[in-house]
Amino acid sequence: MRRITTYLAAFVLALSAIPAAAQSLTGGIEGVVRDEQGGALPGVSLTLTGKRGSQTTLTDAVGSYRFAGIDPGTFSVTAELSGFRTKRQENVVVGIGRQVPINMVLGVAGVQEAIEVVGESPVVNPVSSSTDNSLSQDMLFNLPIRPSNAATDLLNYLPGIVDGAAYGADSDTANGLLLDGVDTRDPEGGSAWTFFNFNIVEEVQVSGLGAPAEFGAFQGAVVNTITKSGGNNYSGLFDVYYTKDSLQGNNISQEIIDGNPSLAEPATDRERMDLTAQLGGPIVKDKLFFFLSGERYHRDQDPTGPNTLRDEVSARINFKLNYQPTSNDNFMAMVQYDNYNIIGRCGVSAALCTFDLTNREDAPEWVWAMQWRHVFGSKTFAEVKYNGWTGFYDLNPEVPLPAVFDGSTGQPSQGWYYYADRNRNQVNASISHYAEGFGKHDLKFGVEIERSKVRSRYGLGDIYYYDYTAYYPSKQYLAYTYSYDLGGKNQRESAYAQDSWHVNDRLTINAGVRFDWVRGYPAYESANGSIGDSKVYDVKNWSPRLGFAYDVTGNGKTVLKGSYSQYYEGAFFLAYSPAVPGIADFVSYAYDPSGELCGPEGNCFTETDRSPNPLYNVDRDIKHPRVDEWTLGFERELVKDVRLAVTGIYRQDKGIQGSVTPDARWAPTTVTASDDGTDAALNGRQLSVYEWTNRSSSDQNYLLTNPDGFEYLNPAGSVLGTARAQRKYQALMFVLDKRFSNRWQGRISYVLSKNEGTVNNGGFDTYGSSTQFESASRALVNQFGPLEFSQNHELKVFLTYQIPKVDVGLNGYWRYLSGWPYTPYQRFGSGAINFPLSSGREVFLEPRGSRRAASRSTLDLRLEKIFRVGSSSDRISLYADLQNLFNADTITNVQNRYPSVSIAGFDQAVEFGGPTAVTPPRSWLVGARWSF
Amino acid sequence: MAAAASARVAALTPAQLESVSPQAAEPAPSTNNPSFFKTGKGIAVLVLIVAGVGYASYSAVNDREPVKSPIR
Repeated sequence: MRRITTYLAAFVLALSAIPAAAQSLTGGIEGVVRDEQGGALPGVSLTLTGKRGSQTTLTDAVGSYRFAGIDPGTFSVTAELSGFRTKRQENVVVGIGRQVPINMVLGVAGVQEAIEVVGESPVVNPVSSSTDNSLSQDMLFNLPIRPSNAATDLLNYLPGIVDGAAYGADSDTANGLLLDGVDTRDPEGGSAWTFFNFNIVEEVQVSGLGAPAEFGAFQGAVVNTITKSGGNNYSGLFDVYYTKDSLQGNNISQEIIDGNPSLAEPATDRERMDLTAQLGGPIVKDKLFFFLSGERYHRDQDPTGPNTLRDEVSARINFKLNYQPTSNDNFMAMVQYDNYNIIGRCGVSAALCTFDLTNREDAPEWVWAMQWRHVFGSKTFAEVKYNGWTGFYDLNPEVPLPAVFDGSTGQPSQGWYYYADRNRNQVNASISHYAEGFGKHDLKFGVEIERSKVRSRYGLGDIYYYDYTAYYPSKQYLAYTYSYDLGGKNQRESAYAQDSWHVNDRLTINAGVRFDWVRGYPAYESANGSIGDSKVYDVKNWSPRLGFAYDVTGNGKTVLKGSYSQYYEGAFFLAYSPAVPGIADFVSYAYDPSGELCGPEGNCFTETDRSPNPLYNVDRDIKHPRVDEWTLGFERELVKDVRLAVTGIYRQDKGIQGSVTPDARWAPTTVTASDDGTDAALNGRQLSVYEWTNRSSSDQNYLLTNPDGFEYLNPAGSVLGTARAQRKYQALMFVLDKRFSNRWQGRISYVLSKNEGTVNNGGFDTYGSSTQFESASRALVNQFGPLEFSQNHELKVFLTYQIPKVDVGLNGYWRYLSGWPYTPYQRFGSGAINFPLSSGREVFLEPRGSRRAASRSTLDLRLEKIFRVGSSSDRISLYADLQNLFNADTITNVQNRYPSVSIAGFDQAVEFGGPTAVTPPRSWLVGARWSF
Repeated sequence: MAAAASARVAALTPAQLESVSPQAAEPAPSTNNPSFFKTGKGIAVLVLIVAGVGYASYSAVNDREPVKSPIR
């Protein structure tokens, strides 16, 4: 039979049976096959063909079929039944967690040819209650987005996420970062640990609004990154991009220099080059496939300040095997090795930093993942995964001399070292099952077991001393020693159950529950003796997830959706590290310049004071940090390939952790702000604060707890004030998406939001210890207001267009962001506020977030000339990225300490409100790549 | 139905027929051939991948030498 290939603009979908796939690293395809009269056709042979071969199934008695547990990719589906015309659907794109509905109508066979139909997955997901935004491979390939750290930077291109703060949560540390299912975050505090090659990314799914129960241990967004893999056809990518100092501009105006002279010399790239070589393909056709990638990233910078050398090299090698002995079994094994090292990483403030004061960074690591997926039939599949990583991150001083601060010149030496050792292992097992009864159910049950280990060592190498002899000849030096060797073991077991219940043709209810048991233990013997194996942290958390999706028009084009979810944070060492021994005593010394106190060893330092570091207690009833989230919105396919999504979001933090001093007593007092500042409204302002009246008898008892509601008492025991540990996020999100077709694609997103509270979202803010609630002056004065990473307005626009005939790609990314809120504060002396640490004496002079820096507007472009070689997927291209097209010189951060801050090495101080950071200048990157 | 489908095909321009994502298309038949690495393209691919991965491996060892931590 001669086949005629036709392309139709759309295909008709019926919604009789489209339960959603469980959200995981896989997707699926399902549908119903009918005849032209609408009758179900049982026994139809459906063949699914992708890059790793084909698999076949049959429709059941009601004409339904399913392919479950499919790796994301592009497929064709062919339906055949004797007596009917064969039909094939091409270019079916299966994404992460998407169950693509492909329904077919077969006509009676005759002398006509078989018809192939091109179709695409719908732009609207009519059964998911979560708000999913993904970065398609088209976007990743075409747009001028070239993150220096793909692990975290890709997030910032998505709506509702700016500088790593997703939906109001902590910047960077609250986001789950998964690479082929491996959680790559630092188990110490949740920041990104593993960096990976941007070019190995096949697809990135970002969720966090209405995420189902199988996703946990995060409070912001969860980034699900799938790496490329091999198939039956060889595919590859060879890519190089390059920039140098002559391709970079300068956007530092005299006005900026006048405000902060240390910004006069911005960091420039003497040379930056990124080389990638990748190849994937078959080892045994239809059975065994490989993917191999090598990358070398090199950046040679002249950083800001007196140092002129910062050389960074990162080499990364990825290898992946996929083995499918039968259509029901799929094995995957992945390993990544990368080595990240830097010469010239500053160990002191950039303005003071000469090369002798830098560190060398040595940071190699291994990442691995193994997975077995078994499909029991069209309704059930199981997955077992073992993944993990191990690495360290060492900073060693370039010149290992004892650390000194010269009070007369303001010049420090370096001398400190820092060693971080980490490893993480995790086992996941899950089973997914489709069942019918009171509707249709897509069930998933799973367990996770995590074991991670942290060790952090810090030391000064010798006695650290301040040389003030120029000012105080008789008082000589202030010297001290300080170091720590801290270690912890995190343990977590999690279990979840979820059901995507397709109640009828229009209504889907997504319900789930998750249980997490998190524990923390000391890991290493401290310098003070054995610590045993006693547990210091233990919490059990239940988190429900409930959502709905309602197909308003019945044709899958308009969906109303909403959700209620609770998200608990992961297992982090910082949540209990103050309760773990390992910090050495803080020892103060006096130095005798006359030498009379020098002993035979010539040690002229006499110990004058020794302060043991207090071990914190952990509240027996401590709650783990959690976010409660409500969403309500709709999605609509406006025209073919165009989707509009509008979502209202409300998130509230619960269980914020902190530290308090339960035995402390406080007395109100008054402090006066400096008169020397440039802001008339702040000069001489008086504030009511609190001094610690019984410090010497109560400063050894610290408690890790949930400080919300903690009462600060006066010596008589009366309540002076109550701590509030609050945070909430409200937003209205608009996203207009145009999928790639007719040579162009685009996205416009606008988020109007309000993010306020008493606890900041700069990272590490919802757990562990800090002076915020240890000091009544900080806890009770001007704490409520907009948070640091709070954007009132966020507008992002992507556009990519391929100019026909000349085959030139024109791609752009523009964003407009409200300026950062900031708060004037002053650090008062210990005579004014009796508190040992200076951070506990830093008092807000106005309510939190009372000021706002300038808004930011930046445009990046890419021009790409494409040369097609052979097939449509075989192309060589030359491209040029222009970042910050208009050379915007927006001041993105300001100095907020009143009245000013000295910059060592400069006579001039930076006044309150002066610039401390500026948008990077306009720069060109040029590149070439061959992909096939 | 077949006639209607044919008419729709005729109405589409070559640009519309080709206006699909470059990443969505099926790979070229030539890369499915077992003797791919004996072709000119295959030899070029082999050279580039060996050079690229080899260079990354060399860099992972050689570029680490100047910064290797003394405690490791």
